[in-house]
Amino acid sequence: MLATGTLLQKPAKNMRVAVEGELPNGVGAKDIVLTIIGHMGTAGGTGHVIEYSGSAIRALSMEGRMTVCNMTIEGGARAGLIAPDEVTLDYLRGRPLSPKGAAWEMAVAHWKALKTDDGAEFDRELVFDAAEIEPCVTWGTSPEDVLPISGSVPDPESFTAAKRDAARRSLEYLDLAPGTPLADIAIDRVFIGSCTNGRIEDLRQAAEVARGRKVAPGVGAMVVPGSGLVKEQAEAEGLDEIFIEAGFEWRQPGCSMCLAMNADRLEPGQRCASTSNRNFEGRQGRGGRTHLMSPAMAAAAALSGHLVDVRKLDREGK
Amino acid sequence: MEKFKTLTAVAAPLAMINVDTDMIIPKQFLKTIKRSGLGRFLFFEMRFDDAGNEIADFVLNKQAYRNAGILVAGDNFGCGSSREHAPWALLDFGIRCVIAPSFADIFYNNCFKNGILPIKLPQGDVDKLMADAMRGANATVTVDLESQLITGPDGGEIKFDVDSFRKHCLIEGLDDIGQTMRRVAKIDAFEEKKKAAEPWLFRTGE
Repeated sequence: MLATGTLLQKPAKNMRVAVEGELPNGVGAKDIVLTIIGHMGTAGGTGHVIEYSGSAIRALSMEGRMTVCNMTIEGGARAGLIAPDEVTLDYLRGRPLSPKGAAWEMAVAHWKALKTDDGAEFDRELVFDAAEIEPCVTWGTSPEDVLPISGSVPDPESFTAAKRDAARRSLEYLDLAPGTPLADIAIDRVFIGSCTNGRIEDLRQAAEVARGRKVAPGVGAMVVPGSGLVKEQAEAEGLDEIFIEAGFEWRQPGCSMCLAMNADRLEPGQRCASTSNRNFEGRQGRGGRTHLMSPAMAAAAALSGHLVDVRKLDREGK
Repeated sequence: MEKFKTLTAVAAPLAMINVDTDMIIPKQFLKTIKRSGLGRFLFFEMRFDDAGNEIADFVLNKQAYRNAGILVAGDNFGCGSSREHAPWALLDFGIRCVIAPSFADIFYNNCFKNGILPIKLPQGDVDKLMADAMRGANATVTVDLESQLITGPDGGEIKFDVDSFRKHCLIEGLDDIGQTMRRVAKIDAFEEKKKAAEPWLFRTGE
């Protein structure tokens, strides 16, 4: 790519994933994409580019759409996209690298043409009902190992032969017993950040949960903005103070504990509620145990000391 | 890129599904952009303990498989991060062919770009080769790309499919840059057209 400015590619197959209807309160973009991956598996999109559509997708902010598209690769697909609309244009208008003046008008006209024709055919189509999506967490070491927080750790014996060994290995690595309610899983660390969930809206959602509450004793929680611009904006909105007040660390922007390439990493055996995209063995540090979830759910876990349905936080009086 | 015609080598069994690229080469080794030298970190966390000693149970640490040239694995091999270091590490270790029921898309493509032949086979065929591979150093397997045939240790043959263009590139050792440069006139013409239609993509600093 750097040598020639081009890449040899074969046209991908087309897949459409429609999410129709209204999301319940407390359910967001991360829950949508985890639900999709849980349904189709990490190889479900192999060879395809996915277009996300439907009223629940159109209702998402640009940040939420980016979360969904970002995790497309965890579903095996090459790329994820959402047709540009007013939400897209509002997001781009005035950004540092956006075209300006006449070039902007020209670009808008071009972008508006980039939508799928009515009646277009796809190689594969999936439809989800937004109303049925719940806050999700992962229970294993693959992003497809997803369940609603109301669920329990599954029994490996309940899977087909191909998946059984992987599930056994996951549960052994994560030190989880089948049948354990997911909401009973205690955590040591919380990571809010990454390219999946380090945008301003993610930080707003987490701050909304954290406001006026305290991180549970013994839990180390950190918030890492996705970029310098996000950090600036969050500080302008006072989100940093909410987090610090609640006992979160407020950090410099970067990849941080998504992949533990710097000193931000889990110690062996530590368990983390993370807003990143991958829960592979060792991803957040050798021997570290990762549960993926939304920023609101990760913040709720930090306050409770265990995985928890963010919608139940108030009733627990914390 | 090294040509791939035929390969006779010990096949190592890795009976796991969803082997991800973090397992193949963990992130701490991604700071290099050199393709060589990554072989000793291949499958690092499964291959070595915290003190850096070999974990005897791991397949590539067993005497029979230390010089394996073929890997037989489960579904969705190479999923996760798109790091090209994964095929680099396999190649540097000496693995030139991976056989599995299915592969993650980007990893699959990266193999061809680095002279590794990934072969997709029905589960039954993979199971047979896995059982063969379990037999250790005596179980050499021959992969012939020209005739698209795998010959097992018992002489049994398995036919495999491969895209004809990719096959051609592997046999000839042609990489992407070479392929691209042969189309440079078309690329230039496209860029001129694109500059006129979407000039905002071509700003050169402000």
